[in-house]
Amino acid sequence: MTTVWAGLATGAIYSLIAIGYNVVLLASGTFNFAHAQLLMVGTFLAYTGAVTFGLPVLPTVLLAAAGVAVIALVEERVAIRPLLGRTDSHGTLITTVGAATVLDGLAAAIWGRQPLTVPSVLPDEPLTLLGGTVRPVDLALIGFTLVVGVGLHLWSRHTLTGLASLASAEDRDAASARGINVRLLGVGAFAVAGAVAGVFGLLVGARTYAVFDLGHSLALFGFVAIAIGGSGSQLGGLIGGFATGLVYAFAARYIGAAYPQIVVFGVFLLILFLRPRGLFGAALERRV
Amino acid sequence: MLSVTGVTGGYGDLRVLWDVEATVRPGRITVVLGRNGAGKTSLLSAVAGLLPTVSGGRIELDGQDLAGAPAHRRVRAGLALVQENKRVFRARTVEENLLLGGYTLGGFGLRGGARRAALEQAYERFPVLRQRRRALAGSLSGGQQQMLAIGQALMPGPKLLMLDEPSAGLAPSIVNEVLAMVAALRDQEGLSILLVEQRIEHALEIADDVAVMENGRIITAGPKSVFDDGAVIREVYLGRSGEELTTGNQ
Repeated sequence: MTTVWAGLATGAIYSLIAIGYNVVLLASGTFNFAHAQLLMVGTFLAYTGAVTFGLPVLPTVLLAAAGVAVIALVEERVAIRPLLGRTDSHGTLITTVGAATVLDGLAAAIWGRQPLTVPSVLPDEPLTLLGGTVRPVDLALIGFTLVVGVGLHLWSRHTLTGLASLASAEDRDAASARGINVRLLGVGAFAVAGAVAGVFGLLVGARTYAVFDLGHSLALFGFVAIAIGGSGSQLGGLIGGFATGLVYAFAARYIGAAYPQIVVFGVFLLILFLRPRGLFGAALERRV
Repeated sequence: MLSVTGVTGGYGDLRVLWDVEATVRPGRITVVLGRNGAGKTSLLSAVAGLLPTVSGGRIELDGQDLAGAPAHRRVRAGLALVQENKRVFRARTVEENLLLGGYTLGGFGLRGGARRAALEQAYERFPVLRQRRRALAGSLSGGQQQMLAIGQALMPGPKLLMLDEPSAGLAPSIVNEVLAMVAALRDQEGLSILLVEQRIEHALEIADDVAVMENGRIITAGPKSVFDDGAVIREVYLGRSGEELTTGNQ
C-alpha cells in the first residue's frame, strides 16, 4: 500500500501537468508545451517565498500563484498571440517549446543548477493509512489535485464560462458568432493554468525539490497522462496522471529501479496503438 | 436596418470581396443570389466579423458602425449569424447549445434570468428541441440541427438575422418548412433578415429585396419586383458577363 501512496503522490503531479495542458487546450485550442515549466517555476517561487523571504504558507502560495500566472500571461502574449489568426496555427507547437526552453534557462540563471529543498509545510511524521505509510504533504498533494481536477471538470460542464470554453475549443469561429470573446477566454485560460501551477509549487516542490530541469521529465509524463486520459477531458487527465504514477511506482518496486520509465513508455505506446484517443474517449477531436 | 458600404476584404492577401454594398430594410428579407464562389458566404462573414481581413468600408446596424468591432461585440450589437452546414456545437447537448446562444444575455447563473426566458421561448418555437434537450447536437437529424442553429442564433433577441444556405443538405420536404419559418420570423416578429440561399425559387418566394453577387461584387440589387421576369437571374446563373448586367440595370 505504501507503493500505492507513492504512486498516487507522483501521479498527482502528472495529473496536474495534464490538467494544465487541458485548461489551455480547451479554452484556446493551443497545446502549451511549457506548462510543466510553469510548475517548475512554481516550485522555485515557493522556495523563494518560504525560504528566502521566510513567509508563512498562505502568502507563499499566493506569491507563487500570482508569479506563475503573470509568467503564463507573458508567455501567451509573446509565444501565442502573434500567431493567432494565422492560417498555419500549428506554429504554437514550436513557440511554446521555445517558451519552455527560455524558462529552463532563466530558472538555471536565477536559482542555479543545484536542486533546492522546498520545505514541507506539514509535519514530516508519516501517517499510516489503509496499511501503508504516506507523508502528510503527499496526502495533501493527492487531495488538492483531486479537488482541482474534479472542480475544473464540474466548472466546465455547469457554468456559462465553462461551456463557452468547451464550445470555443470545438469551433472557435462558431463560438465568436455566439458572442463569446474567444481571445479573452484564451488569455484567461493561461492565467488560470499558471495560477494553479503556482498554487501547487509548494506541495510539488516538497516532493521533487526545486530544480531547473524538472519540467523536462514532468512534461513527458504529463503527455503519457493525457494519452491515457484523452486530451480535452479533465477527468481523463486526472485519472491518466494517477494511473501513470501507479505504473511508475509499481514498476520501480517490482521490476527494478532502472525500469519504471521504460515500462511507462511501453504502456504509453500500447495505448497509442490500441486507443489513440485515450481510454476515456476524448471529448475533443484534434483537427490537423 | 443594415447598411454595408464599400467593404473590401478576404483571407490575408487573397481578396474575395470588392467594394461591396448591401442593405437590409427593417423587417424585410434581402436574398443574396450568386453562383458558388461568388462571395456570398464571405459577405456574411464580413458582416459578422469573421472574415480574417476587411479593409475599409462601413457596416452599420441601425446607424452604429460595426466595421472595426470584433465578432463577439457585433453579437451584442444585435447581429446574429447562422453559419452554413448547420454549424452547432456537436459535442454539446441541445440545451447547452441554446444556453451558449444566450451567452451575451445578462445574469450570472447558467439558467438564470434572461437566459431562462429565452430558453423557454426557443423550446416553444421548436418543441422537438425540448424533447431532445439532453441529446448531443451531433446526434440530431439535419433538420433538427438547422432548427437548433436558428434557435441558438435567436436566443439573444437579435435585430438582424443572417442565414447562410439554411436549406443545404436538408430533405426537400423540410426545405419549405425552414424557409416558411424564416418568412414567419419577418412577418410575426419583424426581424430583418439577410439570406443566402441556393434554392433560388424558394428564396425568391419569401424575398423582399434581392442582391446578386458575382466575383466578389454585388452586380445588381433592388426590390424583388425588378427581378420578377427572371431574366437577370437566369443570366447570372447561366452565364453572360457581369459588366453587361451592371450597365443594363443601373
